[in-house]
Amino acid sequence: MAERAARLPAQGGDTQWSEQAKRLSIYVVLLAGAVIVFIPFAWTLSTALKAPDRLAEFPPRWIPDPIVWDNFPEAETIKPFGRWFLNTLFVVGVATTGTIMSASLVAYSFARLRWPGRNLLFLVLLATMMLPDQVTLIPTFVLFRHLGWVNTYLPLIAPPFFARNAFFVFLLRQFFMTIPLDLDDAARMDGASYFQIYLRIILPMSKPALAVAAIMFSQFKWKEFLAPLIYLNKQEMFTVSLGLRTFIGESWGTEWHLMMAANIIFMIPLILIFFFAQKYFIQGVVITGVKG
Amino acid sequence: MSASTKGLSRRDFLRSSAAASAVPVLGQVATTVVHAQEPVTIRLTAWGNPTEYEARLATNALFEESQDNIKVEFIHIPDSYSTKLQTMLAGGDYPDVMYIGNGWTVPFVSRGQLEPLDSYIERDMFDTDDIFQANLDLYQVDGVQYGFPLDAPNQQIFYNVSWFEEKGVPRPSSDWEDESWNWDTFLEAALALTDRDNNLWGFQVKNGFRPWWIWVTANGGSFYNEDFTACVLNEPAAVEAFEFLASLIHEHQVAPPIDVASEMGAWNIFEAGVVAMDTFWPAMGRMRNNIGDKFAWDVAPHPAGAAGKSTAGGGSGQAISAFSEQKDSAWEFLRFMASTAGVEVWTDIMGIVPPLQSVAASDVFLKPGEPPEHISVFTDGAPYLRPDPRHATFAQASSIAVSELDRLWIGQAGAQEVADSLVAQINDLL
Repeated sequence: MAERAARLPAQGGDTQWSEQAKRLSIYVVLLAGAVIVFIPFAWTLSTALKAPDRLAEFPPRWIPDPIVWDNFPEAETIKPFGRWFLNTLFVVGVATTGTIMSASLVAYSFARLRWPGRNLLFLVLLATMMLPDQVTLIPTFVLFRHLGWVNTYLPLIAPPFFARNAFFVFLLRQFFMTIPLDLDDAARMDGASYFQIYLRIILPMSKPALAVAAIMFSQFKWKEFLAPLIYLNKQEMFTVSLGLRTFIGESWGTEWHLMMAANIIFMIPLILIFFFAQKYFIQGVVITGVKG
Repeated sequence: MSASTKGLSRRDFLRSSAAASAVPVLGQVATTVVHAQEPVTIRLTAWGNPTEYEARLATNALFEESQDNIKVEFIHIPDSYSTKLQTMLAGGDYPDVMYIGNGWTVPFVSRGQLEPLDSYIERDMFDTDDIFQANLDLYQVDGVQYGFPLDAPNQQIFYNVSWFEEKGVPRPSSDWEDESWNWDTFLEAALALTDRDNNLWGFQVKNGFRPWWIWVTANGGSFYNEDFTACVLNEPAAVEAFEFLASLIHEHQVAPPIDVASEMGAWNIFEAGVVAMDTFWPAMGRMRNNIGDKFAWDVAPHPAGAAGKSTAGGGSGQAISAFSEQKDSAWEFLRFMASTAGVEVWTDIMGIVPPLQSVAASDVFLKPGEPPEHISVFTDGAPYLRPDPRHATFAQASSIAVSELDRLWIGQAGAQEVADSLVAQINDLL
């Protein structure tokens, strides 16, 4: 947003007083918004650097005294963080690949091919989005148990290869429908098969939408809690979101300082992704907002 | 546990019977013995923050060292414990041993999910005399034992001794029978300790179930009537207790408003020296670590109401899944964890009240020289324990009560009005 605001005068080229005032007020509003959004993060950082007995100081101190850098190595040493981190990267990487491959293929079929019952099936697909995970929890658990998949990563990474997430099928179908049909016709004239059209025409033209889907899905997968909770039994197999909960005690109190230190460490990849893929994030808001 | 029970395990019994038996019986029994010696892995589900996790690893290792055949696969469920456990049970992926809150005994048993232990206790002549009776009873339904307690906590008042001395306020009596520590003297003390201008409060009213349940029972109130056909929290004894607690916030202003306390971190403000008295479970390990030398502290019972003194709590225990395929091995684990060796390690790491009277009287728990000075308040309080009401609707009923009472704590409605409203909702469940 700040980037867009900065571009405004360049586009208009108007340096009048009122324009300046307008720009200033935009900055003030954006700055206020940024500060509000930043508060929880700052609090997390501040807590991550506090000594355990200073957590509840009142009035609260934003800059801890003393600053306890040791919380970071301590949080790292009492739990197998490196391992959880790699586990999560693996799960997110494989599942995102699966979702992009399968969701785009299914979306292509819904957007471009004509076959009996297509619209009805599309409705059924959309209806699956309305089912909360809790409803299907036990039946899917029974299924995976019979397959012998409990305490493996398969329940987390195999379903995405079967277009498990209807939302992404929907998102990509809507995008594919905006690509002119003439391109398909031209390709067919040149002898392309349906699959070649998908591979050579539709996918390359949909890079922004695919990037948006990949970012949104990996974000969702990075934070996913219920499935790892249900299917993973061994602590060394945990993902980050599950591992972070090990700092919570149901009856013995939560070690907030260590939990926040761990949170900061685990936020870094998401912050980096956002930093480098900001353009696509904003596009994602536009695509889902306008066309979704 | 006792020497007599240690001496005769099922395997020993089988071995000696096998040796003494006639030939046809010998074959059958010998098979059982061989079977019992094959390595077995039992699966244990438990929650736990890093301290509990450490205690689990230590006791599991000790159990594995204590015998040759049984290994423990520890399924650590760090959060949403009942979601995962119920999914496992419903989905046919049964653990052998489950860590359960004492309040879960009735609902689990009503669903047929727990293995009755009486036949094992009888067979191995397992001595349960050393276990605090009040805590052992929490895992009984209709006289049948379904589990053993792993701890015996109850909630008491933790108070800041330095603060009492500074203000010249007499310390609360740690003697359960001394009724000079009652609601009147409690209020006097709280008034003398409070210094609102400096954000220092005499007491904290917590909105969880157990912290107010102590006051309701001390005043002679109950949750349900005797045959569980109605909730009776709108009767005078309970309503008076609610009124008294609300007056601490609104009228006397000796307790911080509940939203302010929650902003400050309701579970940390005693350690931070913001409240002089606070209701807590025996989180001694945590208090010793977090308070350190900042101030002196001690524990005392809650003040006596019209019906005397009272405490709430009860703790957690372990039970065998009714669907376990390795119940004998699971039993071996259960009884090890109820033995002195298991309880000592658990108590040492957790700093909690042990379920065994002998360990509660030992230095492992008492830790001479370390606070609190009157640590015996926890064990002496066992007869005063008023556990959570035991009814299948309780989980839902208590959450209705807790959320309705918030209207009282924030000053939106009076005690009688809130009590009538929550009773009407709870009665719909019955």
